[in-house]
Amino acid sequence: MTNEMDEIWELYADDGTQALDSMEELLDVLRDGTDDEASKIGALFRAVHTFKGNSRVLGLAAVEGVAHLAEDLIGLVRDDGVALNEEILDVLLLVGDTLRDMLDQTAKTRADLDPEPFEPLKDQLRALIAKCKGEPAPEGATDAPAEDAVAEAPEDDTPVGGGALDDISAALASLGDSTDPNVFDDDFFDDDDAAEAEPEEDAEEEAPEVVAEAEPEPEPEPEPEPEVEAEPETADAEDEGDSDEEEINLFIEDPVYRQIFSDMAGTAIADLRDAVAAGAPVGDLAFKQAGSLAYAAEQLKLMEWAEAGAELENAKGSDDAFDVLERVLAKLDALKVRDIDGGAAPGTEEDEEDHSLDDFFGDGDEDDNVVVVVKQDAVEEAKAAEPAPKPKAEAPAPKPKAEAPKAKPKADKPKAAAKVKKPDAVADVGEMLTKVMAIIADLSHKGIFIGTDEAPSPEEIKSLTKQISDLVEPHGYVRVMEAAHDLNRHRTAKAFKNGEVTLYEELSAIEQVLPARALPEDMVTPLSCLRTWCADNINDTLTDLRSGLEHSGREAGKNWYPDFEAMMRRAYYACEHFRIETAAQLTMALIDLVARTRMDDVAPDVILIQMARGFVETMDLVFDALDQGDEPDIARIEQLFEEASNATFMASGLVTARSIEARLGLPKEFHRVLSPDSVKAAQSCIEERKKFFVIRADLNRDEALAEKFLQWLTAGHARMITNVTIFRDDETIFDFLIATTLEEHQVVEQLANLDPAGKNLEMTMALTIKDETQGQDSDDKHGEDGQSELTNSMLGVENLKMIEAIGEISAGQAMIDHSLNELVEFDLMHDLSQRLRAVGIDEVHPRVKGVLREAFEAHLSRLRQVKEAGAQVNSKMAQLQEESVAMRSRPAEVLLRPLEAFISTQARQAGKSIRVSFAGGEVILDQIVIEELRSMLKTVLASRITCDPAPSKMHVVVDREEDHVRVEISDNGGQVAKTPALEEISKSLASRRGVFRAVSVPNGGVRIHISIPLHMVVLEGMVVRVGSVRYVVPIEAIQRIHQGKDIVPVTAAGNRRMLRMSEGDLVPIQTLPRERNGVADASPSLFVIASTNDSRVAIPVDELLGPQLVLLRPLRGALSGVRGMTGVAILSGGDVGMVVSVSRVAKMA
Amino acid sequence: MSFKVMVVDDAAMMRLYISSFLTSLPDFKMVAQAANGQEALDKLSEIPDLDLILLDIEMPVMDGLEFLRHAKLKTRAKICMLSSVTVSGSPLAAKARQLGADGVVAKPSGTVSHDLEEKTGDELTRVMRALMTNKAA
Repeated sequence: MTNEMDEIWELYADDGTQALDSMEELLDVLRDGTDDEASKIGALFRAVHTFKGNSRVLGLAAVEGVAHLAEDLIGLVRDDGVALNEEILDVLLLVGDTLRDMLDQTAKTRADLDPEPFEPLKDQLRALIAKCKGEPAPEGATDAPAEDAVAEAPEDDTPVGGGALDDISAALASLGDSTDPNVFDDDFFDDDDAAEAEPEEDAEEEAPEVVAEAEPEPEPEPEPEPEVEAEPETADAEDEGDSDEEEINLFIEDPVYRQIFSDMAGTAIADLRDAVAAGAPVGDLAFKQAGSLAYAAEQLKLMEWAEAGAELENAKGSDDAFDVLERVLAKLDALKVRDIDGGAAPGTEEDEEDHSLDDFFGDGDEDDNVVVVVKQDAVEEAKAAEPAPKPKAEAPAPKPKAEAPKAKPKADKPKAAAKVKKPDAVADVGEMLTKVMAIIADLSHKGIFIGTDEAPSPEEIKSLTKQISDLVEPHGYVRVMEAAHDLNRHRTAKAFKNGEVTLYEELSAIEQVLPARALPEDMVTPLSCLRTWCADNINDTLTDLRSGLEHSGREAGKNWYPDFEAMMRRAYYACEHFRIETAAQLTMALIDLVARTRMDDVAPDVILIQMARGFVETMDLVFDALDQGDEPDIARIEQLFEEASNATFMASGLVTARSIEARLGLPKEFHRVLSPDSVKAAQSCIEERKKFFVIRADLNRDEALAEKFLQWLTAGHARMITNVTIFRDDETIFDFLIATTLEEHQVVEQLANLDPAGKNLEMTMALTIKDETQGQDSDDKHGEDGQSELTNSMLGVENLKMIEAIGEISAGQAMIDHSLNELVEFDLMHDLSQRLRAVGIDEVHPRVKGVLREAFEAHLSRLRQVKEAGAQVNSKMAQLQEESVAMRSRPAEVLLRPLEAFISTQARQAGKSIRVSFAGGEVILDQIVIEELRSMLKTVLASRITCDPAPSKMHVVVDREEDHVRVEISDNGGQVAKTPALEEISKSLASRRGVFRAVSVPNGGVRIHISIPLHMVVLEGMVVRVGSVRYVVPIEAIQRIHQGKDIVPVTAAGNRRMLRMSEGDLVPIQTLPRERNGVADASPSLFVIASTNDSRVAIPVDELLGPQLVLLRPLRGALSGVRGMTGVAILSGGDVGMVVSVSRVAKMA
Repeated sequence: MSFKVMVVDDAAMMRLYISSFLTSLPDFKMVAQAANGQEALDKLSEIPDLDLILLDIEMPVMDGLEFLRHAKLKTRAKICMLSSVTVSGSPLAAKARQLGADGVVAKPSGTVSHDLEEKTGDELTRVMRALMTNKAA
């Protein structure tokens, strides 16, 4: 037994136990009564469903049989309004106990059980199900519909493989829960598929099988076997080989295309008939029509049509062109009868009826949404019954009909023609899909074992994919065939899984063009499978997306875009599964945005990447909430969708179209044409206080007038902002939005000059510019504030770098400012006198002194000028920093919530279950710290999940200490192993004065401390003034503000002064440095009482300037020696503040 | 050799602007123009070797999206949407791509963008050339 199989069986045992524990617990709750019965029943269903899926994966039919019936019973309660009564609860409890026994035995023996002893319980379940449905108790009913399907298969001679494998939902569940290491291996950006591409001869090898097995396929109606049955196999081989090469572009599923083709075919055949009637030589029109039809048919993969058209097109200029024309016309007539007119052979009674093209490929249903059924065999049938296509009444008699099939070269024989089947109705497609889905279930099951010792042989996979091909080929679903064929070349479980999704997507495309109710109501359809699959695997999809986005820069390979799109499509289906419409739209919008960046083969811009990251993170939370049965918060998705719609505006640094619309009160028609350029133009015209008008113009009627009007617009009278099409019947007129300095009456006058009749130019609206507040007051939430919010959330990597640079510059500026202050305040004259005295020169000549003083004054004056200039720079820097501070502040929740999803996914992949809790989500952190912590914590948490023994619970706390951000992870797992990744983290932190420490807890478990220095940390502080110096005291360290002069010297404390807060409550006083030569108040009366840990300190201040959010920067250079300070910050107004380290100041006191 | 282009736009002035823009590109030549999708379809058979179609969306009789479906069957020419309603990320842009548009470019200033060449000329040229070299756009 391989390790993988050991793991799978262990997982089966663990998961099974959990599922049954959960089942038991839920049944107890339900028996006792609960207000939340619906969700409990949902959970019960899921528990049994999971159990069933797991047993199915391991081929435990006896176990699965019981679970399946239990699931059916619960399903009736969940979905069909059956009341949960004692009888049902009793049976389910019995089922729970039985399944537990079965689990124990099967986990031990790793083999299925004899089903016989469980039949009574299954009968009981069947009887109860029948009772709940109001049906008589079944006699000898089978235990699963799956078996019915399998039993039916031989009748159609369409083997679907052994075992109960047609329950798609269970198979999907098993996929989702799989622990096959290959299923969840590395991200999707590796090219394993490409690397595995098989040589082309593979297709050729397969071709003979297709034909060979097609022969025994049953006929719904007995028809004479067409003589072309024994077609050379090479034809198939060539076709299949070609199909691998071609770019598939099958639009046939689309009813619109079907209609278009139908129309084209009708016109072409009529023209060819006219050409036959006209006699030789054949006119150009016939060849052109044949060529057009051939091309269209080729696009739709209607190869017989394409070949017929091409045959005539190629005959142009040849001597036998007319013969070819007649032959092709005959062929096209037959194809039309078969594919368009409803399948009756020409010359039969039915043929006399007036066949409408509306019946195209269908059964004459008036519903346009008819199914695509390319009846590849019908031509042959028609030929066999009556080889000559009967001409329409108006057409001349064609050449002897029997010649047509005979003249047809063997090599032209389309491969599908060999497979005789008559799929011409929606029901046939439904039946086909049902059978295909059953085979896919079998494939899914086998796919799980790829890469293990129990891997299916390539022949087994090939056999199943061939069955799918055989089923779909008569319907012409080339893309499905290709998707099925592709499964043969996958050599890893993951690649195989990806191939399966592609197959589901192709089958879903068929389902989506079927009329309503075309498929059995109880059928698990491809689309529902696809959605369910994508929903089940959404965590992996998001993980892959996240990983891909991390490599979206220059190193992104050529497959980045297609992989991204593929993953986004999966996310799209998952959104559809959960009916989150906005999120589904968002995925489409992102796909479009990314598609545009493919043009230059450059990496998508940072805003787009950030938006996609935002999408991934938000969807993590949304799906997580859904998983927990909670209502997801979709406000963020809506915001992202808005951002996606406005991406180009954001990239240009513009206000959004919406804010312009709000301020101008624009009619909604303009919304869709407001490009970034238009918005920019409008914005600048608003700033210039120009007036806005809407002018309706009919420019197509009078070209001269149109030119005059556009010249008027470009001549400086007015500026065109944008214009929009307005349809009046089949005519097009335009509404122009213009901005001008002209008054309304002047515009009217000038328009009248241009169009004296006033028929084609008319002012329809004079707009009033609302001020920004009004713009915000409207329902528009994306005014200035909204804009700021959007900008905040659009913080890209490059933006982060920019903001970091702002912080650096601010800090540097602060230090320059501080030094400059010192220089300005420094009394050079006094210093010189002291220095001279120190070397014995007590007196300086007054003249020398005067000269020196003058020079110093001049120097000081220049310094003051520099300081003033510096103050202006400071003020700007302060603004910049204020904005950047707001942009980079994030609650730790942003870090923690995705980690929850990460732990859950990782744990699931490792086959573990970990309960995780968090604290400190409200702590405000800097975005860069968050980014730094994110990757660090993922590494640490991943190591904990895989440690031995793995923890079952975990608690993560984020906290901000005075000058550090601290994260503590505690769990009940085994010891921390020294891995290179952890050592790297430890080393990196140590180099930055950070800490990584893991300690074993006495009662078991581990506690890991991570501490990052508070560089670049956003801080909410109280700004205080001491003399002329500004200080920032962290708000969270401030205990209170104290006013009073009750200061007492305390001898025991070395005569330090203490502040008496109340009787017996003394707090040590520590003054902060003032400017040089500044004189402190001997008896201060205002104190900030700050505390840290257990110590307190009273800091005398002259004034409280108020709270402020600041970006703290570390002290560097000359300032690094300043005692008692954490760092510096630029305050609003441009002043520099020293950030007080309360703990250090307290120690000094 | 020049690539043959058909311009499909219901605004006569826009067709003029695009035509004028195309004359500045030596590798492209406007060989036909149409005021709506139906007119364009009718002209397709006359120009079997058409290389590129610059297609507006909002047009009377037959709009650009419907034309796309037809054209995908009837011509080998690449199709680039050039419309005021295909701003990045817009639903119509996504729809056009879904229907097989090879490239999507937005007009800069509305349906009649007299500043097309000035503002979007480079982008449009890039997309057109990329399409002619079979690059995805």
